[in-house]
Amino acid sequence: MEEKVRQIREQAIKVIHESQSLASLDEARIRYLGKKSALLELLKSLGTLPSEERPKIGSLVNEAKEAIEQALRSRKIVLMGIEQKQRIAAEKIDVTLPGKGIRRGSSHPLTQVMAEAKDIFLRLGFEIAEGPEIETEYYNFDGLNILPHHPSRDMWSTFFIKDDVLLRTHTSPVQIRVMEKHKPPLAIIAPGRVYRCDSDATHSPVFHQLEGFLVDNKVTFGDLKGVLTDFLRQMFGQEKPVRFRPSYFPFTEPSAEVDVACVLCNGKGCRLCKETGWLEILGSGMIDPNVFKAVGYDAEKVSGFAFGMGIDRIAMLKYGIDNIRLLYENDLRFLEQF
Amino acid sequence: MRVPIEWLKELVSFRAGPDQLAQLLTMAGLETVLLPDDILDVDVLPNRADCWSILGVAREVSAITKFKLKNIHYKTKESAKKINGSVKVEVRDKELCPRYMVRVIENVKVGESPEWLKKKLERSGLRSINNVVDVTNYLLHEMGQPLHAFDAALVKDQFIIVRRANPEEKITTLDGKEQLLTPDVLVIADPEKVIAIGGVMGGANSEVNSETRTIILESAFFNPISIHKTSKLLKLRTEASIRFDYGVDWDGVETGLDRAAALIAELGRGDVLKGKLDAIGKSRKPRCLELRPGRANQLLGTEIATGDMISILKRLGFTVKRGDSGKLKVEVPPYRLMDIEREIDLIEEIARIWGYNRIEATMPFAGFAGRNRNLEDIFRSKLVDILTGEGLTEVETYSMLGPKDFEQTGISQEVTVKIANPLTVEESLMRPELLPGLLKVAAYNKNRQRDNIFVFEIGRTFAPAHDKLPKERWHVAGLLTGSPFMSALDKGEADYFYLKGVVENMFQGIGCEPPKISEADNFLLQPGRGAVIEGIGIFGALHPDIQRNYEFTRPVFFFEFDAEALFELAAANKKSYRPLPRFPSVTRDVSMFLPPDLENQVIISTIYKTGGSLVESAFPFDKYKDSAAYRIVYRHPDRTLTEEEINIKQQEIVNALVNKLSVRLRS
Repeated sequence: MEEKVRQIREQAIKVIHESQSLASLDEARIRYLGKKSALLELLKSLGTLPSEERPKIGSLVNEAKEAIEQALRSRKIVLMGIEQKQRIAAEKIDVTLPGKGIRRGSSHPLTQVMAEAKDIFLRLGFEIAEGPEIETEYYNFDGLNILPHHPSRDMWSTFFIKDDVLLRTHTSPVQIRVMEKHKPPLAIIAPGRVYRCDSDATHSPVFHQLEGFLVDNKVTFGDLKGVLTDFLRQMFGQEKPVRFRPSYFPFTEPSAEVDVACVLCNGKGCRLCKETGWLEILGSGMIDPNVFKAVGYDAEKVSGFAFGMGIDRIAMLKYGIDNIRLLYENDLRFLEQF
Repeated sequence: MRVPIEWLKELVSFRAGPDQLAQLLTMAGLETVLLPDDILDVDVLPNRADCWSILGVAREVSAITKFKLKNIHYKTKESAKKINGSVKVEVRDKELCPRYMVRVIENVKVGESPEWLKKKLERSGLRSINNVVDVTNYLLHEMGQPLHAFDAALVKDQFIIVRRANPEEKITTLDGKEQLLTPDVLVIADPEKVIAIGGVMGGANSEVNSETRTIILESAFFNPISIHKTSKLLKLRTEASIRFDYGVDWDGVETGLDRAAALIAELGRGDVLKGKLDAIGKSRKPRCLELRPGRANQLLGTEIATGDMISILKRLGFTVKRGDSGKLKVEVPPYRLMDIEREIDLIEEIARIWGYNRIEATMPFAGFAGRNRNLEDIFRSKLVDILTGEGLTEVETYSMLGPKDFEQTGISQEVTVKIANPLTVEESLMRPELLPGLLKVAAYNKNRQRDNIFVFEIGRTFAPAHDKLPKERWHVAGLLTGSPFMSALDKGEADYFYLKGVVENMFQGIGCEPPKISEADNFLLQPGRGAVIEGIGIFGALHPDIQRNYEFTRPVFFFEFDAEALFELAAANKKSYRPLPRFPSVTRDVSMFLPPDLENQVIISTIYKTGGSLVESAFPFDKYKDSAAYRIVYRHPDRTLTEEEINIKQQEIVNALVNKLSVRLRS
């Protein structure tokens, strides 16, 4: 009897160890521990044994049962590990294949640069105003102190719709429109499309400007320098040298051209900056008393500065684009780079 | 303007090297680049008439460096013979010609100029012609005063008449071109013919030549506005017209004449007749301005001492006297009469010579006034974010279109805003819609082997209006063709429903439901494959005719919406929270065969109408040809629905679909 129990135990453990799948392991479990298993039969026949042998054989059978269960458990863990490994191996994919889903689009580089510039001024406290792209001659020129038949009028080659209606050549008309309607203090930026009769590598008949002005009772030329220096440093880098140099615009006086150190050579002189080391970025100045007069302000009581910049030019400098046409050709190979 | 440094040194001394000099001038407002061989290239600003000469640049150098200008020595030796009787001048329009001066030089030998003169002109970028013309160019360049020499023998009766041209009058100018004149043009004439366009160019008929013996030398002040108009009208911009256009130095008219006469006589061994004719209209009065040093400092944000201001103004040639209560009385030199008219002009002079770089950068003391967000601008930025997220790339096309764009799309050219002076006919009409621009973008990219094109644009469109200005309206439009997927492993191309998904997602993004959508009847859209959104715009498959005009081989889909209407729709739609449902929902399906032309939205609205408040949602989940299956979701807000209730409702809905819409139930 003892021998039989030992044999069953050994055989069961051997079979369990040799089983290669969870299914065959389950078969082994039924065979050796199931209702019809030899071990269970033995246990059932315990009553037929002499009473003094019963405890001994009983405990032997129980020991064998526990040993078999233990073997089943550990084999199951091993087999589950193997099966998981096989499944993982079967599920292996090429992780370098392309992803699913639609290709994301991108915003136009001009939109990106304009957004950046707007954001800087909005944080400074400016607000956005807009005006029509087709303007009257008054708002585009006369109101801005750009007199007819003055050489300065030639600074803007103009598309005309009718005699006194034109495509705005700059965003400056917004200055007049806003000041006519509102009293100071004013801090305004005016982004938008502008038009000039020019077309070459650096001129497009359509381009974008960001205009801005600040009017209050004691705005100084020093404030103009402060605000624009802050803007340019945020736009081009905190360390970039900035310089203000006298210039002429009919609607500002004194007027200043604002340069930053060349983005390519950082001031040493190269082809991009025409060997000067500087790039012209902004036109600016203190608003001319004649402009204040045109909108009914008292130039003795308020002062202010105005500025304007070409967003296309800034985008070209920022991204190293050498031909402005690329911005309007809309070649997707170009646009997808941004 | 080219300025040889050695010539500049004849007029002013300075210690600065060429590079430094260019820098100093640039930082004082005369943008200057140093060219090879010690030549400065000076860019003169439109308000600085006084700087169009070596002398003008020298005056700037003197003001910046504090070195005094050198005096120019010359002496005009006159012969005993008087000018009166040998030439006569009559200025008939003193408005257009306020000052006209003449000298006569006899016995001139016209020939080659001496080497020194030739070299000077050559280094300044001027061509040597003969000793007479070269002298006039020399003084034009040095002093900024244009001069003109006539061959006296070719001027009838030696009688010079300054007048407006007669209608249709003609002249052949020195460049050999015939010019047709109008009465807006001021001419120099003799009793028979026009001999020059005043201030712009001389005539070939009175040109100095090798046979010339007697010269009538002209020096004048022409009305800048008149010269500007003439120069534009005739498309003729000359060294002389530039100076007159900006305005020459009133006093320089005489100095220039005297110096030129002296030099011509010297080089051509001629005799300058005694005296000069000077026809003056209204004579120029000196201009005196008041400057408040306190005002200057207040505006600039500086503390420049009054003494420093006086010193700067004096160096620039102004006469300065101290007046009452700290004010300065400033007299403008004649060569600055064109641009110094007000106190602010003087403040600018002080600022630029003081140096912009010495003015401290500050932040505005009163803080900023901007308070309001621009909601339209924010909305447009949001549209950009939404559409790029939906796989569309933003483009920027010109606002101008050409007739071809209209022909190819069939959009009417009649009601467009037209540019009177376009650069090209292809950019002559303001766009009434964004679609033609997008079609051009698609064609451009298709021609570069690009099959998958997903683009959009946000921009203004233009339409004529009864007001003075045309109507401008912001639109947003998109164009889709090809596969939207990142990977070519994923199959599928944009179709009507893909486009509609993009449109619906856009509405979702701006936070509102699209208004009523119905089948469109629009020449831009393929019939039966396009839709109109009430008050917003259209979307769908491009009409096959247009498709063919652009030679697109794959189907093209587009949308064009009024962005301003979208903004208003989004702005009106206030978001509000609805409590989450607390009781479970139950779904029931209905499968059916649909009669032809029965629209989904009719089925859905019938389900809602019949189902009432118990129907939470209804949507198609299977569709093939005329067979469709719809799912209906039932829910009660306050309790769990019973099987019986739902069965009754479902039956009512099915009955309505069968009876009202003539669907046939499946199985």
